[in-house]
Amino acid sequence: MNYLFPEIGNILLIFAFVVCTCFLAYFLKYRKIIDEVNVVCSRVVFLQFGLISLSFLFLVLCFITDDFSVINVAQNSNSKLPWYYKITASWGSHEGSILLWLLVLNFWTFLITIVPNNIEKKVFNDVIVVQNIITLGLYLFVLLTSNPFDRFNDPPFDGRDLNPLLQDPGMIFHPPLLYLGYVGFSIVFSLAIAGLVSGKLDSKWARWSRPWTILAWSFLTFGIGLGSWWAYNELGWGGWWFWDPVENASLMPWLCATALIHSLIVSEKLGIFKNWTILLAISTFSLSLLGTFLVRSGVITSVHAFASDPARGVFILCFLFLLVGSSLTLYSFRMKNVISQNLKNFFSKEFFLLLNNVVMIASTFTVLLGTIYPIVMDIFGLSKISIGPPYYEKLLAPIFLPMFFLMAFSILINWKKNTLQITVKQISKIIVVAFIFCLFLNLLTKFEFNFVLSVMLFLILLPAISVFSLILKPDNFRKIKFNFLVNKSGMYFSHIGVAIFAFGVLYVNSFDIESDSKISIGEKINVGSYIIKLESTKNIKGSNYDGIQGIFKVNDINGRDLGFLYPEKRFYVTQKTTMTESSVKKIWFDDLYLSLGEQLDNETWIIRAYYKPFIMFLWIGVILIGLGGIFSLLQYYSFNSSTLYVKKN
Amino acid sequence: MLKKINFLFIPLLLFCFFCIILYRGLFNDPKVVSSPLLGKQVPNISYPVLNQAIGEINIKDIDGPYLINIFASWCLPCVEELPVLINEKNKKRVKIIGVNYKDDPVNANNWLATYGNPYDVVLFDKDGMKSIDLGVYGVPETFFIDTNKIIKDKKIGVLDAKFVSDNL
Repeated sequence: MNYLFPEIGNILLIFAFVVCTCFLAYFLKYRKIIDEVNVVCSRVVFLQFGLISLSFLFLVLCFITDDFSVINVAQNSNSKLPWYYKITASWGSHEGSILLWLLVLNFWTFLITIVPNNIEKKVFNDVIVVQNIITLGLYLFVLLTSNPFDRFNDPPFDGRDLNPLLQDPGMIFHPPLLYLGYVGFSIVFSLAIAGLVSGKLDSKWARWSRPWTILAWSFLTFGIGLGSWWAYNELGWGGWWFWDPVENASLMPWLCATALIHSLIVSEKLGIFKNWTILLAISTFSLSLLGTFLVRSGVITSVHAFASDPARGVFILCFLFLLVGSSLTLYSFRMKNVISQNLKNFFSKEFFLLLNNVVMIASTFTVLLGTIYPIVMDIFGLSKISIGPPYYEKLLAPIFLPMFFLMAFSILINWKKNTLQITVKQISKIIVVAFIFCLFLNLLTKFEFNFVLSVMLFLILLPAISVFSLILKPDNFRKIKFNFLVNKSGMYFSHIGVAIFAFGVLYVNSFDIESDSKISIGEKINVGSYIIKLESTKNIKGSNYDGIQGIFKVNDINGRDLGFLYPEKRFYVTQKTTMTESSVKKIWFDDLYLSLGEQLDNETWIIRAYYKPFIMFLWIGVILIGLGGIFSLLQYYSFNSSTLYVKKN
Repeated sequence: MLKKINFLFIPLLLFCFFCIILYRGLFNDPKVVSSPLLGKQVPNISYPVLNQAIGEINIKDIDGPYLINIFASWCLPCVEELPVLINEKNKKRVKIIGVNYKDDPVNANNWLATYGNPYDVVLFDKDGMKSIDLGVYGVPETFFIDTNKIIKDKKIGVLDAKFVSDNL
């Protein structure tokens, strides 16, 4: 059916672009009248947010009404697609996802205008202007190279259907959460630029920036976690992380933002590491933009494969170059005027946080190098290579493992001055407890752990035990003072989360079982301590696919009945692609995972089975890390922040 | 003071260098894989012929121009490019030599019977060891060898109709 939806959407988009341009022109002329600009800022932001939301709504309407005269709809939807996937299809395409990017960017700008904060008016105006400059670039990108509302001259009958990989509930939350994360770093970026312009980069600046960074970081944590969970549970890829360039694109800003959050705390409290903090703030958002570039330009091949024409790549690259280049130029000229305190005590929390920061950035660089190395090799005509998981695992493990040790230290020791004696006592207690735990776990697994694994386990346990030692400090109970739980709960959650996550990774990587085998109806195979029997197969039919389902009975080695597994193989008619829907059985924290491979004859199939011990810890870990971020925000707003900080210092 | 300024400029310089790399990278198609064999003589490789127990054909002894098409029955894109090859066979401009790669002869014969056989002769490389000298990357892959027995071009992935015309 043809309505005027695409035209209306397009007009709203153009109108938003005009509003943005006019605002920037207005600011150039009247920037001195701070109070007036301040009022205008909020209104302009509200107007743009409203316009883009409506524009996006009209894009969704185009999809729901099956308007195949719109190129974007015809290429990514189909009349037989279920209605909820029609909605998600609106951000499944390149054009749609860029419009979502724009919507999220406007959302963040809008958020900063409505959430009560005590940012100075001048700085606030500058922040809004920088946000609008970023938005302007995005408007131009959408309007010039990837307009989602473009129409065909003679429209096709039906659409090409959404990529079956994306026909999954994961698609509903994963991209929006991811975008909320990485676009959210634009706020701290704008704050950094505004700070550089005004030259006032004091602890107040750090206090304004921290909650925004943490909020975006939490979204990104959940977004990445959900993506990983989705790839693992639904797509049948058999793993949870593939070091694919597109995944790396989201991991790099995350690592950088983690460093930024810690560095912001130090800058806020002690006024040190300021150039470092600002550089991290700029880098984090730059890495987000770089991620968009890598994903959207087709410069790298990836399983996500969103390759498109180079014009888009050139545009994003120019935008990236102008925005980040000018920020770094500003940084290099302005930063020398900013007074930063020097680090005075080397045996202190701030020093260990700095060390951990260095580790984080080293890991970011390692990932970056692995991601662009194939491009570099290609340019110099050396060879075509692709870099796989072994590179990342070999290089990142030695970077991350000492980090756990440093983490334990920085959790335990105090700001500024520490007495060597007390610290040594604390640390040795932690080490003893970790050692006992390690031994205990070795006993539990009947010494399946070898020496290297035990050392890793020991290191991973350190930060978790340090956190518990803080919570269980006798002082806390003697004085019946429980605000320590509120004040630092975010930190506790995140760091325990990291330990749990790392524990899961260690277990899964060391003890998982993977087997490909041939199975006929009535046959049994062994996977670890489980027995799988193919009972029968059944034909199934969905609204836009045909498929076959295997019915497998699962028993453990003692004969206990654990129910059934139903992996499927689906053939999507319109796109002529076959998809594997794996089936997962959760047994405590472990997963037994089955996917259907090729059919050899009527009764025989190739199946791929995995046993993933403690995989649940990964998801629990990620959730705790993200929740930690959210909790530390609650603390921010539940207290009057000024009194809180006076008290602590 | 001077030292401090230099230090602060480092991120900017790094970033500029980085952008240049990305810009150059944009105009490289990651799917085009060049081969050091391009422009060189066909290597000396003797393959057995599919369905023949004795006798081998050395690809150097075949008169050009001809195509070497690496295929396998387990390869889905190979089915996709078959119409191009069959079309080329009917035009009779070049010989088409098939190399059945890492395959089972029974499956290969079934596959040729089902989808059609565009090849003038089908050679057989059971474990893929022989084709290493050709620098074979995966299936499907096609080499164009000209009248002077020089490897003029190669294509990784599904063949298009232009490949032969461009090289003739």
